[in-house]
Amino acid sequence: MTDLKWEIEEFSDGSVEIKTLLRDEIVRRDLIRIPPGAGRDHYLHEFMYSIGRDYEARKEFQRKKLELQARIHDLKAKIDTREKPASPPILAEMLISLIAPEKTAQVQLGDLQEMFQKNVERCGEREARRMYWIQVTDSALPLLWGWIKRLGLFTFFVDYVRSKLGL
Amino acid sequence: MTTLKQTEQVVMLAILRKQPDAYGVSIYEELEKRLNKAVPMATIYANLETLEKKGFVKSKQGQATAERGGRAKMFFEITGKGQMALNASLQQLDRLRAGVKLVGATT
Repeated sequence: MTDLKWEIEEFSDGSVEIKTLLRDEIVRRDLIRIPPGAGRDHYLHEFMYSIGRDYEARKEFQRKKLELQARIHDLKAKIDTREKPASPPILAEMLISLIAPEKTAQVQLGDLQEMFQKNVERCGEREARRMYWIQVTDSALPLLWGWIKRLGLFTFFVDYVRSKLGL
Repeated sequence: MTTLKQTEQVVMLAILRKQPDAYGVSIYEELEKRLNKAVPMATIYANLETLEKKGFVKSKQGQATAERGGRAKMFFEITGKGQMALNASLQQLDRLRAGVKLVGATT
């Protein structure tokens, strides 16, 4: 039942020392006094049996604990390595939201994100991010031009040049 | 008569081809497929804005989807006035082209 061994030493005062050994090493010492009227052998046997039962229960508990720890470790590793959903470059998105017309900025960002997701599936996140930047850079000039026109900077600049040249 | 720029023409033609699912991405992909070149999204939207102001195109907000980061689509369709303008503009080109022999032309 168990890989425990016991050594029993009886003293002159009637007490008994029970040494519990595991692989020849003492792991527990109990000093007991056999109650009067109890059969010596039966009492000692019951005592050692209860130690053995506790030891087996503890061993089983340790085994289950280790099993659970291993499972937790595996799950943590899975969570850590789980792919995060790909997202387009934030800086590029900010650029678009800054210079695109208010009416269509969110729609354009949505379109760019939709294409980004398609590109992620087609050629991976790294390449998709590169393509996203290309899209944004291509769009930057027309957007910037529209932004300047909306702000009236161009008219301001022309008026300034005209006033300086006296036209 | 209102004239149309070439980019406006191609955007309108792409919208007609993609009806009833003409929105930014589908227009972009249609242009890329048919013209063999990528037209920047901003250029497409700039033209759509101009066309809408002229009353040639009308837009309608669609549903937001997760793949678009919760942002809605905007669907476009050509108005009757837009179709007439596009037709007139293409006919102008056809009239100009009629009888002209081009090197490398297949027809």
